[in-house]
Amino acid sequence: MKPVIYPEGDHAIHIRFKAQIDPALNARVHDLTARLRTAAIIGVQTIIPSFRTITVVYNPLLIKLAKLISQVEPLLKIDLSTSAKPKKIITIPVCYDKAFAYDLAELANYNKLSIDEVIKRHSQTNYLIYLLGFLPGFAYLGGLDPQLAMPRLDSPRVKIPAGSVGIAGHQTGIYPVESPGGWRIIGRTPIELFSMEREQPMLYEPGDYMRFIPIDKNQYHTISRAVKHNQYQCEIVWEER
Amino acid sequence: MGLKVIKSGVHITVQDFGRIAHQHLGFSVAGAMDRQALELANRLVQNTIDEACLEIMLTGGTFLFTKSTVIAITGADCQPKLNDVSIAMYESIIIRAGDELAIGYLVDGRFSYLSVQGGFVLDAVLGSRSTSIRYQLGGYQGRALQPGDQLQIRESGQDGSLPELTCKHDTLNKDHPLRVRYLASADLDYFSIGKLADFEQMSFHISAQADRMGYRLIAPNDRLAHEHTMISEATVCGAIQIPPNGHPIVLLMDRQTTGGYPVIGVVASVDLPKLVQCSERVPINFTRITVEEAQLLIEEQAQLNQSAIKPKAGLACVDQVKQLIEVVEGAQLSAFTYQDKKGVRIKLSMRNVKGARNYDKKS
Repeated sequence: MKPVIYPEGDHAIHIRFKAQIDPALNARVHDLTARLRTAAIIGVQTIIPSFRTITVVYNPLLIKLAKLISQVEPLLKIDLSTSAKPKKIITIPVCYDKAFAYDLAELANYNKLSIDEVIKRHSQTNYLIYLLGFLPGFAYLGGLDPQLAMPRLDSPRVKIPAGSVGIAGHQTGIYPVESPGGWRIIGRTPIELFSMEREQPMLYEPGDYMRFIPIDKNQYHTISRAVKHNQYQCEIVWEER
Repeated sequence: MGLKVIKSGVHITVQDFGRIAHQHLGFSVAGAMDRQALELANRLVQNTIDEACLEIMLTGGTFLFTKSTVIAITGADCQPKLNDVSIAMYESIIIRAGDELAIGYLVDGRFSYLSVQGGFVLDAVLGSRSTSIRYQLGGYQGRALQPGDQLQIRESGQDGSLPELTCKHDTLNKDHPLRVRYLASADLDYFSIGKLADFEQMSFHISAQADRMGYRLIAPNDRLAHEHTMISEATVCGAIQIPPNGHPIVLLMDRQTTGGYPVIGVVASVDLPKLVQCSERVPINFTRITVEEAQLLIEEQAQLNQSAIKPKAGLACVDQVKQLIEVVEGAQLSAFTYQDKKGVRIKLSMRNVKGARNYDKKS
């Protein structure tokens, strides 16, 4: 199915695929995003992919709508049905110790699983990063085992530490910065998901995958120290699709 | 050095045109709420139009300059005083080291802007000097200014020797109701043509829930209420979201990068400054225009901004005016009009003359 262009105000367009949340469709979103970025159309300020939409923000003093559409249209016609690009998987160490995992026991109980089984299931999936939003680096991940789903807390916590890994409904994710929130917290990563000190402030981009590697408390503190001295690098795994 | 904060108001932050290129990573754009006022403030001191300025929200503050420079103040009328003497908005003002600038309450809008020639010495974070309070980044230490803060002013190389400039300005709304032009959403899955007509017939007011993230508007009835949900996608500046309760939210500079409420339309860029500065008391009506019309308006605005900046009239005869005041005071006249050879007409009104700064001049 060919995506459709919708003008959004006088300085943006949405390029929308079918209204569904689906990994294959999202892969096409990211392929087209890459194609648009490579095209480097003059006047385009930024391109923001999400579940099924690519938003192109432009400066109308440099390019008018009609001209932008005429430059974008040919890129939509290229067959995007298969993605040859291998999956980029960023591995994130996560400590599921009860010191960090405020809600792990309750979540295990809720889903009638042992704590070990929850950790095993949570850490054996390659989660697709559909989009980043809500907070800088907050990844909307697809692929949570339905057996791990649990509704949010009735009343959100005022402070959730940066790096906390949580579950809300059928989603899992990491809080990149300290924030209030209602997610069920099941662990914490010592990794700084975004840091202005690094050349690349963010470890991942929409379209990448994320996998959690269980670590114990000692490893957590060791990695945490290494992170502080800028001496830790998350392993990146490439996998054929 | 440059500028020292003696007293700070409610919320004074450093802002430029914002952090546009990192939205895909979840960073809000931030940036000046009234871009028009920021651009004019910069033009008045011959900066590039997107140089970072101080954005002053609701109430001002007191600043001590420790370096000679040229400044301009634009946006809402904030009753600025230099060393206790009222100074004009929308004019370039020459500042000498030791001068104290006091900015008062904003009387006819929500945001004022203070530009300094050369801009402030601050690192750009992800391509922008705008302050993002929520993520504590950009601007001055990622936060609003506090008493004692010291901002360095960049050397501009043309210290104080600028021609004094003034500009015509009409960004602040005098209309009642305020007419805001908008572009209807092209996706009519959520809102039919009938709903658009309803929307355009209503008069809205800005609610108390109005901040840099967005303005929640109060609708007169629930005709826009709905039960649609949609798949989240990127938000754009000026988007008019309709949450299920039917009271629109206009998304602004500190908006979250993604949103899941249906969007009925987007405010035309040229009308955003008026909306952003609008009082809670003024009813707001939306009028539909096309993308082509909106983009022509943007072009016209850009041209107007260029031609709006003019040398101050009568500047050459400041000394003459001082002499005139002495003469007129000596003669105990209540009013006096003088026209020089260049055609500059000076009208003196002697009701509250305290010094040379209080004369009216007309060209």
